[in-house]
Amino acid sequence: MENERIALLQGTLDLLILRTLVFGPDHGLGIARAIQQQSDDVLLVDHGSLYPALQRLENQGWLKAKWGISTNNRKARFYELTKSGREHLARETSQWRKLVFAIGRVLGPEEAEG
Amino acid sequence: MWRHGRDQTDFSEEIRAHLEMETDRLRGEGLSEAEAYAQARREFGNVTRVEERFYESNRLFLAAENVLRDLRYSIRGLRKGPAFTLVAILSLALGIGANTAVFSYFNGIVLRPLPVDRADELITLYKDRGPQYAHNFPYPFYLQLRHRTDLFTGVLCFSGDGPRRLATQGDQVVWRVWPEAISGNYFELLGVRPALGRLITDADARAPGVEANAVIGYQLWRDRFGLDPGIIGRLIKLEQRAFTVVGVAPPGFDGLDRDAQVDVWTPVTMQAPHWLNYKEVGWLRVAARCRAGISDRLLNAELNRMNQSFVPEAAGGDADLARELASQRIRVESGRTGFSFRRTQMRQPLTILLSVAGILLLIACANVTNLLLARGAIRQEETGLRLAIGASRRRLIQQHLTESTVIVAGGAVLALCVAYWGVRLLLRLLPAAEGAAPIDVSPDWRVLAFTASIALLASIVSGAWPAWATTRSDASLALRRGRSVGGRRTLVAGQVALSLALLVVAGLFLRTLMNLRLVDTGMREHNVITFWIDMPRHYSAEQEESMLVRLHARLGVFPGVLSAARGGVIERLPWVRPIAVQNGDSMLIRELEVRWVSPEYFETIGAAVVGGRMFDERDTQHSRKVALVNQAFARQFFGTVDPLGRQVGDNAGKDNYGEPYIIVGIVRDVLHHGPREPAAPVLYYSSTQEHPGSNRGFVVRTSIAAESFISTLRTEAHRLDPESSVIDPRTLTQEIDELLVRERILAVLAGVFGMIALVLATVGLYGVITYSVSNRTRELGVRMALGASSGSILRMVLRESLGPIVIGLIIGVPLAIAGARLSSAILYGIPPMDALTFAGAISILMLAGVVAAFVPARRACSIDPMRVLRHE
Repeated sequence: MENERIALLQGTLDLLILRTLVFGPDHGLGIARAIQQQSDDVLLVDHGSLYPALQRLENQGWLKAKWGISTNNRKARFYELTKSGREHLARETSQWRKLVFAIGRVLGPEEAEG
Repeated sequence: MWRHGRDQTDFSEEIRAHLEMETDRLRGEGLSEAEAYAQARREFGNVTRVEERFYESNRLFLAAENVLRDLRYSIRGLRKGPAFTLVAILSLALGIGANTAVFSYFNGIVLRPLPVDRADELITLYKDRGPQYAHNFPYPFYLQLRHRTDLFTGVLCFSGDGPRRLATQGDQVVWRVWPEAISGNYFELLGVRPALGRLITDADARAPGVEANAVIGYQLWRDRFGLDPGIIGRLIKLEQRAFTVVGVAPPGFDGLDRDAQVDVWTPVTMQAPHWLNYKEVGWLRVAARCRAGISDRLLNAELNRMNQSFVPEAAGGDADLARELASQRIRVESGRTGFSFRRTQMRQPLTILLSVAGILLLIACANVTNLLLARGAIRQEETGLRLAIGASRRRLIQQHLTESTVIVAGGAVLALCVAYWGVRLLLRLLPAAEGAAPIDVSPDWRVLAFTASIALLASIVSGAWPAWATTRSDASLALRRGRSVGGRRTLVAGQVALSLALLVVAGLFLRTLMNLRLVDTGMREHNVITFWIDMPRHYSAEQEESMLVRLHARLGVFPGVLSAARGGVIERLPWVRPIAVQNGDSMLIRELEVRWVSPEYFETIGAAVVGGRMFDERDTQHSRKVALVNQAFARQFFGTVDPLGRQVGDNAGKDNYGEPYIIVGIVRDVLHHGPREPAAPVLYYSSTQEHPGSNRGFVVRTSIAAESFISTLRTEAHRLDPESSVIDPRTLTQEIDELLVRERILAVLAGVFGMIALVLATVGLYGVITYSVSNRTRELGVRMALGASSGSILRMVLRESLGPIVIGLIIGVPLAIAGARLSSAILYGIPPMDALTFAGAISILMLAGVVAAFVPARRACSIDPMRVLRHE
């Protein structure tokens, strides 16, 4: 199980954060968990990279943040997608799909590897 | 982005919240509080590293914080070494201040555009004759220009028309004002808007003599009418003629002639009809705006075609005049800065002074560089340590440059004070005749931009090398080998070289001024006053002459007056007419300078008659017409032949030379145009026999101090005729000085700059030697312990100190030669390679070097070897 986890590629974390927040505002830990769960625990979010990434996205104006109270009554900083964040996500998602498709074609069918 | 809306603590807070939530979760899975927290921390990774990443992500903020920290550090450091700081800031204040002062002046005279709409598009017309009459055109020619709408969108003309007496109705007070006659489209074409009422328009100038309307200047309105808005519609009298005030010009607008003040504008059509009709006499200056797409070449060609077709009309059958008029070419030039004789005169000397000030700034920068190097050397250990523990060299250089920028900024602020005084000194050197416009030297954006850019340049020039040299990783090694003192010696040599060039040029200018002042003008200047009398325009010629004769008679018997005569002495504009000179059987006709003087004239100015007689009481309006000539006249027309008894003919123009004048005397050459101009032939007529329209000049020799006589003179003239007044009274010495204003400004300023350069170089040298002596305390102590006498130590230090001076002098000589060559056009009575000046400048610098070296050298001798060795 442990060794099937994949460290995230540079830049993909931003995309995943934005995607996660489409369903509503969440705090850092919640975002990390959501990514892990939705990827069936394949993707491991490095907490050390998470917060600077959130800060970066906030600086870009794609996220906005405010302090609030988490479900278990802890103070937490909640992040929310902005309008330009949504637009950015749409653009980046289609880019990403193209990239995956293109890389898939280059790598060829899975059977060939075996 | 300048900074986040968050600070570091907020970010840390978020991470703590994360850890707490994670701890909660893990505790829920059954771990103990401590285990849960440790686990959460482990999963998170390095918290400090994450916090650092947050901090560094904010680059600009970091940079700004670095700048602030450098600033604080620099200011703290500078306050610790007040002597260092003071010398550096003062050096720069002098260097930058000198530049700003000269530039303010240059800006005021040469650069400042007219305060009108689209000044860049204005052009002015001139004729290629002498500089004085070059801009004058007759009114009928102006009217023809106005019709050329294919070339111009508008053509205006104006002429100074002063001084005149201005009186308000029912008021006894009379002021002397300087009016200007203008074409109706003048204000509209310039885009000037009134401060009050309306300005003169074409409707005011539609026909000669119809609309007696006037616009007054803002200054006159403020000073004489107390800004009273009721001025509109009031009648004012200019001389005897009444005008209705229709408006006030805006503040700051002073006409197109930058040299003359203007108080009142009146339509040109209000001028006497004969002026408007003159075709052969130019008296109006012309400015215009061109149509788009008209090239200068086309314009010049068209203007000259117009001129050629105008010539027959103007000359009216006078073939000589026609030939002369036809030979003049009309040209256009940019009218952006208006008309100014002062500009023509001062441009070259001011350009020289700007270069001189630039060199001075270089010397000042070298001083700062020198000081920064010395400081850098002292802080070498600190720098080495910081480099060793991982400070980047870029950061250290940035910090050094911050320090030099702080010094330069301090210098620049102080420089503004220096500039203020410098400008006042400059203004004092310029003569101020009545009716002359003051030079606007107030700082505008050009001056501020200039000062800011030279300050920036200075901070780079003075700071770059020290920042680079003292942050080298091997710098401390280099220092121990004494290499960095070598660099500083080079700097001092450079300063000495530049100072030598400055001193030589200053010396040459000073000698030029002295030479000019020593030129024999043919007069005895001491206690001689010249002035002229202004009288109301409505006086008839007889009224005028009667007043002048009465004043002349009164002055002749006035206590304290040795002699009083009629006639001007120093004039920029001589009265020139065609004169026929009888030479054997032939008559030569030449344009010659003519002066009307009374019999006492030559005695009063102290000019000797070298042959024949002076004018005397025998010469009356009914006796034979007589003339005196100067030596130059005699030489040019008669050579070795005696001119006495020969005839000259005057003024009748065409073929008739009128009544002949007999030459009865020869006068020593008098330099009426100043020491610089060699004597030209002059013909003197007696004012008792004939007087031209306005011979209102007087010259008086007093036995009392000339200056103190001036107020008595004013009272006396006023008593004889309350309506007349004394204009521009000054001593002959002042008058001659005013002719030498360019030379004086150059000599005084270059002299001051040379002195400053000398002081700066001396300070630089002193600093280097002091530093090198204190570095070598141990070596010198050992030498003394081994038996060197203090005399030999003194000689050794002096010898080593003079090294950079000698090298500087060797480099400086070719520099000085180049400087002298460049200014040779201004020199008088002295060759650019004048050996005495060079030797003088070299000796002054040597002397300054010895003085600068002596103090530290003495300190070196007083080293106590025992103490030094014990200290080790």
